[in-house]
Amino acid sequence: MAMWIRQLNVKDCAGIASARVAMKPGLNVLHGPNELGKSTLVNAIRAALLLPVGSTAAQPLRAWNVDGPPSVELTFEEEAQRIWRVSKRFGGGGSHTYLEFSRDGRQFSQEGRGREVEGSLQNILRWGIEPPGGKGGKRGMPASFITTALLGDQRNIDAILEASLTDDPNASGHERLTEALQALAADPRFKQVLASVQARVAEAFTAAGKKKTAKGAPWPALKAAMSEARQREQDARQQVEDSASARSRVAALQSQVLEADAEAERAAGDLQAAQTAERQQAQRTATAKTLAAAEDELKKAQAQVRSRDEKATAVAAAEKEAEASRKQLAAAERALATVQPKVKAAKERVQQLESGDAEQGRQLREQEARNRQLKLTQQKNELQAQVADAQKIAAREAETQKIQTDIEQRTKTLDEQRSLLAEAEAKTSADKDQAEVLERDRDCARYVAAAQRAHELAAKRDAATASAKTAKAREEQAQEARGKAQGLNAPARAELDELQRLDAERRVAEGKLAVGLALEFTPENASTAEVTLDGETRTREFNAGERVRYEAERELRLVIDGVGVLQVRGGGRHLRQEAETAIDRWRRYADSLFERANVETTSALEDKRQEADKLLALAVEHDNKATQARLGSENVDALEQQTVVAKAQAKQRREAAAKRMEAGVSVDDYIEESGDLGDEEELARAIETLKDEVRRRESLHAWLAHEVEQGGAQLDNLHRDVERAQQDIQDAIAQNERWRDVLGEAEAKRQRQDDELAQADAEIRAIQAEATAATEDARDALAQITKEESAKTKARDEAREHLQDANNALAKLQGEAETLRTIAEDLDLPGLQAARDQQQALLDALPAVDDTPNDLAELERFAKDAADNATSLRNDLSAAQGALTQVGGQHIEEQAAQAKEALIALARREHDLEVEYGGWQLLRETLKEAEKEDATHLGDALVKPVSERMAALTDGRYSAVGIGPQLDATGIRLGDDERSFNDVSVGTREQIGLLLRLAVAEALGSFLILDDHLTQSDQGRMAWIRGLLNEAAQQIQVVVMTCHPNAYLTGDHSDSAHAVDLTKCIKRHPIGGSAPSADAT
Amino acid sequence: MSDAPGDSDVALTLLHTADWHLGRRFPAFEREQETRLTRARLEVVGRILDVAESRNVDAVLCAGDLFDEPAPAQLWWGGVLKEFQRRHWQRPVVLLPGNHDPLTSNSIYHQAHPFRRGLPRYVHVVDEPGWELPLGDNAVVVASPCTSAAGDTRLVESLPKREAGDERIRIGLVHGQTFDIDGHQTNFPIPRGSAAERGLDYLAIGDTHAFREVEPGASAPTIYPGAPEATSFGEKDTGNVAVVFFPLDRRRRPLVHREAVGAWKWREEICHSMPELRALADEGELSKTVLRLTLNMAVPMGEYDEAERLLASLGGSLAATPRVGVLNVNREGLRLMTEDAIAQFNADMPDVLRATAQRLQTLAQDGDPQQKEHAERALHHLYRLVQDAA
Repeated sequence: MAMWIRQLNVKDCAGIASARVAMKPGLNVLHGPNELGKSTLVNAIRAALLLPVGSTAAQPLRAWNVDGPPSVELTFEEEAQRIWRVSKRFGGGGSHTYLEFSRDGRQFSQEGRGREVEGSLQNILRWGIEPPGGKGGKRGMPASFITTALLGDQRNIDAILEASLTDDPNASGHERLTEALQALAADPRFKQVLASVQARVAEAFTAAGKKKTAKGAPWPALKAAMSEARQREQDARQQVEDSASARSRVAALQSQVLEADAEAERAAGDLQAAQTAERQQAQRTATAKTLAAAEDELKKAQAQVRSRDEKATAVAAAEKEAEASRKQLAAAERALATVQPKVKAAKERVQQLESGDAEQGRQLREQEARNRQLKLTQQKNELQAQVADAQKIAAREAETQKIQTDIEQRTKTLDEQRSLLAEAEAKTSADKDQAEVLERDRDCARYVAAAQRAHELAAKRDAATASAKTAKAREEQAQEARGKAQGLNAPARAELDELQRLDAERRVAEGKLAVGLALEFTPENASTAEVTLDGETRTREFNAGERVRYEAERELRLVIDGVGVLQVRGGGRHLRQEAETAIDRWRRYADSLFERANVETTSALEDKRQEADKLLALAVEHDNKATQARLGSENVDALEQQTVVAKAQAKQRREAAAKRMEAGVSVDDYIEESGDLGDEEELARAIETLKDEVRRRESLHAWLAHEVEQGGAQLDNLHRDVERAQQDIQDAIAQNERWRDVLGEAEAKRQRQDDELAQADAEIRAIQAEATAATEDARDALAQITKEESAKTKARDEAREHLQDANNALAKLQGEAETLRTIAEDLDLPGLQAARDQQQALLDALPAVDDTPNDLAELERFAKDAADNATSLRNDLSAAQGALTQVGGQHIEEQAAQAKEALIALARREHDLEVEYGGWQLLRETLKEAEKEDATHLGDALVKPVSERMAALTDGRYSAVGIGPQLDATGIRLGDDERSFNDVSVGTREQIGLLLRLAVAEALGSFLILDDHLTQSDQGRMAWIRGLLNEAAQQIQVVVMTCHPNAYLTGDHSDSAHAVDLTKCIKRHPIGGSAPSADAT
Repeated sequence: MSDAPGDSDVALTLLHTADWHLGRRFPAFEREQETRLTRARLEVVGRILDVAESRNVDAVLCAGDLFDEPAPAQLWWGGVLKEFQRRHWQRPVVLLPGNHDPLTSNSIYHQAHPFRRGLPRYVHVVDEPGWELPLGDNAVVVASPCTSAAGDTRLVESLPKREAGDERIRIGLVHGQTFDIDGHQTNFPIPRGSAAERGLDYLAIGDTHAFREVEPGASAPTIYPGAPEATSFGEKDTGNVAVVFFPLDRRRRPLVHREAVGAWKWREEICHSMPELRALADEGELSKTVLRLTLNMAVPMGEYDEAERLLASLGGSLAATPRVGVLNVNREGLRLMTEDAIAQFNADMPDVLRATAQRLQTLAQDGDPQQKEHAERALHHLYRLVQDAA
């Protein structure tokens, strides 16, 4: 069956509150009165398949008196085991879209949600609808040629007749129709060729035209080989290059070694020359050094003479300096002597002023004031100590009060907790009791269940035992029937067949003897004869001279009294022998069967066989029955065991239940009184719940008990604290009975003491201010003159030091001048000059050396480097020669050539493969292009079915319907006239539209929705159309929405149509009321 | 033995072979073909040793490059080992390391290698310069191995010279190149006149794949026996061993007999026309032929189809055994004449197939080179399918 709708569910769509419509393949007649919502259902199908949930075109789906969003769920089968369910809710923020997939129609898995669903749907349907998201999409319900054909509104007949593929939003519909119509029209030879080509292309390419990489495809192995060959060629080339490079390196190194050797030799020569020059240079340097020393000696002597003269000048200057310093000292001493008497006078004046009586009286008064101040401070401290003690007592009293309050609070809390504790214990006890009752019930229920199971098993066991007996009886009956059959000694069917064959053989052989015999004779005398014709004998009397004529087929025998025997047989000797053999064979075989079966005829043998067959059939029947019974009794042992186990379990459970019974109450009585004990598992759950509750209460109980205990202990501690505090207060009061008075008077006393202290302080400051101005003046004068004396003393000391320094310098200069004079007297200036001249002459006599003397160390380094370089190069050369022997040579070149050859061969193979499969690919594309071009006129494929049906419908009045290349209906032929659709009746247009839609649905293998169509057709045509729809429904699903079910459900096919009374499926919103709360079913 | 000297005249008979190149790969061929060719190299070893037996030679000298690389896979050395082990010979066989299989620490000739350890006592490996093996009292083999893949060492000069009074037959055995090979770098050079210079009666050498006497007419022959199976197209005089007879009369030079042992022939053919291709296809036994066939012809559709069938017959298919042992076809030069290709299709072919052929023919004539090639092949595919369908 092609694509068909399985189920449509709708909620809150237009006037429908809810609807659930199940459909079947074939013809579905969905009927109900007008205004029930049939058109809404069609709209819902369109919306489910075509309309994005956010589209404004969903607005008409909204129920006019309900706020809830409309929702649609459509289940359709694309092909066998490919079932899709699309669910959409059209409602602003509450919108959703889901697409689910199933193979069996029961288990669905989600395949998509949201916007992607539209794309997926259009990929499944390929109806020419553009998935949402593209630009330029039309508003409203998406439409294409196919949607118009399959889901269009039959009342809008013009839309159907004018529909064309050219108006489709995308090409998918065109492609699908092209495929479908081409498949209808393609030549079988073309199909065969195309299938072969596609198979070859599929060997090498994916559906997307890419080269296949899977195992078995031609490319991967070649690609891998190419890659390997390329790598090998590259490696080989590299080795050849390495080899060539190694050879070049050897040659280069050989050349470099030669050059290095020459360089080393050059460097050694340079070094030797430099060493000679070095020695000459050293000699010149030594002489020059001696010359320089002589010159230094001479210059030093000349400098010493100059120093002696300069020192004598300096001594004269120092003598003048010392004289000037002596004069300065004498002047400073004189100035000091003038100041010292003034200082003495000032000191005496100050001493005189400070020793007076007034000052002594002032100091006495100041001391008295200080004494009074000290006493006041002591009093203040004492007062503070008393106040502190009193405050301690007050604080202790307040603390005691606080503890008392705490005790009262805690006592109250403790009482509450004790009350709670008692309550919890009571509840726990009640719950435990309840749990026991439940456990009793549960055990009883378990016992009842076990007992029931034991009973059931026993019943099954009994049934199985009965089956076993039946089986045995049947087996015995079967055995008996077989025994009877055997006792008949009937021939086997094959023996009968063989007998028949031998009989036939005999008959044939005898038949061959039946050549036809005729005998005529005329007896001379009257006589009697026994005449046997073909085995049939009779006696005949002949008259004398009578002409007698006999004819037989194979044997003719006359035994004439007194004459003899005349016997004539047909056939030659061989034929007779053959006949005799056949007869004998048949006879012997038949006799053996007759004898065994104790019968005499073939028919008796057949009867015996039939009788035996009946007995055997009866035996088989007994066997079958026995087998069935055996099947029923197979598990009798297991059932027996299970029954025993179940009974034991019931007994255990009964005992367990009995333990829970109160004294004097039996389990059975309890069960009987209890009536329905309830489900065992539910009871277990209730018990568990109750036990949890008990555990919770016990936990609470423990916590409360702990709290009470803790609270009591804390209360005792607090009582003890109070007692201790009260004792402390009593002790403190005993020592300070007036503590409350002290606290009350403390502030006034402190104020008074502060005032008195301030007064004493002011008095001290007044006494101190009484010092006299005269004393101060004398002190200032003394300070002034003392300062002047210090300055003059300092000036005298400086002059003294200056004189001392000048004398010291003079003495030193005089000593040095004397030394220089003595040295100068010993100097030999002419001798020193002669020695210098001699060295100069020696230097001038030595050979000249280059201006830029060689750096010998540098040359030595050069020479060493050159030698090292030569050695190193020689080592490199040796290594390179060694390497060349390992990597180089013809071997490598051979491998490189081989690798290159391999690469070329593989490239050729690759090219061959490319051409081979490129050819197949090109052939496939070209075939498809040619096919497409061949089938561009899609209408041609539909003209025939539509026209034939139209002609049949109109008794040949209308012959051909015109359908354009893009499936647009163009007109209709009436006789020889080509007419436009505008020129025919509405009914005819309606019928053409139906036929066209039906043809498209058949070509696509898709369902077709017809909503209240053919209102303009007469009864006769309706009957024809009914037959047509039933015929089409053999291949596709046709869904008719109608308020006239009888128009479709009568006639020959009424039984095969699936009628759906929509009044039972649709629940409408009450007019003016609110939405119903549940779906109608 | 009909062409060999009589036994009484011969003092010594040797079999001289070289360049087996066991384990050599032939990557230019498809894997199965390559396997056939590499296997052939092992099979010829058995035939060489069979010749040695049938000729009853006194010794077998293998002058290097017996393996294509110093450490070949076990398949190859194991095969040789099996050949040696199944023959219970007394006659010595001497294996000389060449430049392809030099005596190195990792080579199969190393003392520790299982190949070397598995060799029967009669098989000797030359493992030092100036190595000597007496062949009875009257003859001696002197040899020097290659110890590297390349080098300019003159190995022949490390062979000891004949000492005064030594009258034995002296056979030299080295691997290398004589100076007269153009276009090659000389590897382990062997100077002319070396045989005489070292006092040898015969110098057995290996390296070149063609059978060649280096100095024809020299009193002491210097011989390349060549490869017993060819290794590539273009090699001449391959597939032989040298059987050398040393006359009792020492004044006479040894007689060198070339004996064929190779089974495979390597051929290159170019067909310019269908008759040539048909003639090739009609040839008899080709199962031991390596054929490189180049097609260089433009043919009409019928002949194109025939050419394809002949190639399938030569190269084999899933349904048929190949007639040619190893076939390598270069078909780039095989072109379809497309001018009247359509006319050769079935006349009652459906229109849509005719239209397809027409399009392909147009493309084959007007397309770019690649399109042309693909269109020609597509035309032939279509032709074959239509023929088959008919």
